[in-house]
Amino acid sequence: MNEKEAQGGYERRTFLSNLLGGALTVGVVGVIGAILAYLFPAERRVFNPARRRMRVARLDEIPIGKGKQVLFDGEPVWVLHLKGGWMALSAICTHQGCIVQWDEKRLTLSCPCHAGLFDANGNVLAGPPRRPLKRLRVSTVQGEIFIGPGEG
Amino acid sequence: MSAFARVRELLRAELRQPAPQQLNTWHILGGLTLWLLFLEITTGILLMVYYRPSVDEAYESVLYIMNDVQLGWLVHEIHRWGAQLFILLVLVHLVRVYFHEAYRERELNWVVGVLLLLVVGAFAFTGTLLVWDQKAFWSTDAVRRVIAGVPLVGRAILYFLWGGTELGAGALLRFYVFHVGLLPWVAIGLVMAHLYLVSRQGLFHRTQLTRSPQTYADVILSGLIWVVLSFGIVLTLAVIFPRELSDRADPLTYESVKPPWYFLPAYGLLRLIPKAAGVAGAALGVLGLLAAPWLGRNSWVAWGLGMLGIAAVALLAAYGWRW
Repeated sequence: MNEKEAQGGYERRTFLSNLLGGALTVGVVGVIGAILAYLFPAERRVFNPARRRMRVARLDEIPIGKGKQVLFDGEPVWVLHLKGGWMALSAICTHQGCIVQWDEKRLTLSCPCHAGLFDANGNVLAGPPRRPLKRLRVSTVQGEIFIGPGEG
Repeated sequence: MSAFARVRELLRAELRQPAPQQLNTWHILGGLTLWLLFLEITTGILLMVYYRPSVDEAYESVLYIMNDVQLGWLVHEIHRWGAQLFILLVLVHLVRVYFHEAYRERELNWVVGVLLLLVVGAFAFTGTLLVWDQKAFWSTDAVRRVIAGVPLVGRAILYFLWGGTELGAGALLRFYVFHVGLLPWVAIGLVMAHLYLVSRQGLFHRTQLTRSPQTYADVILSGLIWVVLSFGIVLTLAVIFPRELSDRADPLTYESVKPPWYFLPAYGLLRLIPKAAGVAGAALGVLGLLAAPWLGRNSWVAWGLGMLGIAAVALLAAYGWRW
């Protein structure tokens, strides 16, 4: 091997090791960039179920004593206008999962399947259910009613 | 000479050490699983940032990761496909070590390796439930029913692992704790023991060593190529075959689910013979695997046992897949 070849071999080796180092650097920087993008919170879409809410109606659409049934998250919900204020109750009976109906005269929710009876606050009055109906949060914002998950 | 240059010089000297001639691609498998473990831990930590281990939020938070977080779908898919490749490579590594009879005079390390295999299985099992969709729920519930049927200890095991006899909020939280809080430490401890024993006992018998032109730099470079290649495979699978979640887990709507491919042999065994006997059979299989170095003292016996074992596992998997 003469000196020139040795020189050429050295250069090739330097080139290859620079290529390898450069490729690794690019790869590592790319991965770190991807991780930073992942960690950066998605704008205005931060997952927070407590803040999720759904508009039900205008306040004057549901007179006192009336109720409106809506779907929230795929689940039927009764939004009731009572004398004391608003109440949102899951319409799913805690016994076998049938849909309860609002009785405007007696102010009760009754289950057609096994005659479970709940009062307007969701508490059990009679029948096989043991647990009260699930309550949802109700809020009124600028003349409109909203419901959201969680007690309230 | 600066400290940096000194460290570099030391590393270079190490890399210039001649490596045994027999060192080839097969020996990279173990290191490759270590790299995939690193990948799983990294993506797992990233997923923990957005995941919520409660019945009310688990499914929604996974959907959030997949749909809303930037590159969240990619991190989730890398974690899932990385796990599949991880399990596959661990199995290939085990078969490689067995048929090269590398466990001879390294019986302890074989046992550590089999324990690591069990830990990997536990990772896969606990991790599957966390997405809390119908598939995850009912495949985990099938295992619950099997364990509940085990006489004497079945219920105790359920109370410990599930936090009750039903699959619910308690079980989800426990599985999460096992998956991210307990198993990683067990795995890291076992991996350290595994590597320590490898470095202590060497890759080859002294008598087998021959002079060779390859150095450890060559070995590490080809290992690095495999690392990049496996990452490329995982990325490709993650992009081309992302998994859609099935419906949100609903304890009232039964769904019949097949277990993932790596649990098919156990599933086939439980299908083939009554539950209690099937559980006993699976336990015997694990014990047999642990005792492999002592069962196969003779090379021919070891080879025959290995072939029989692989045939049995393959047949059971086929049976489980078919029915």
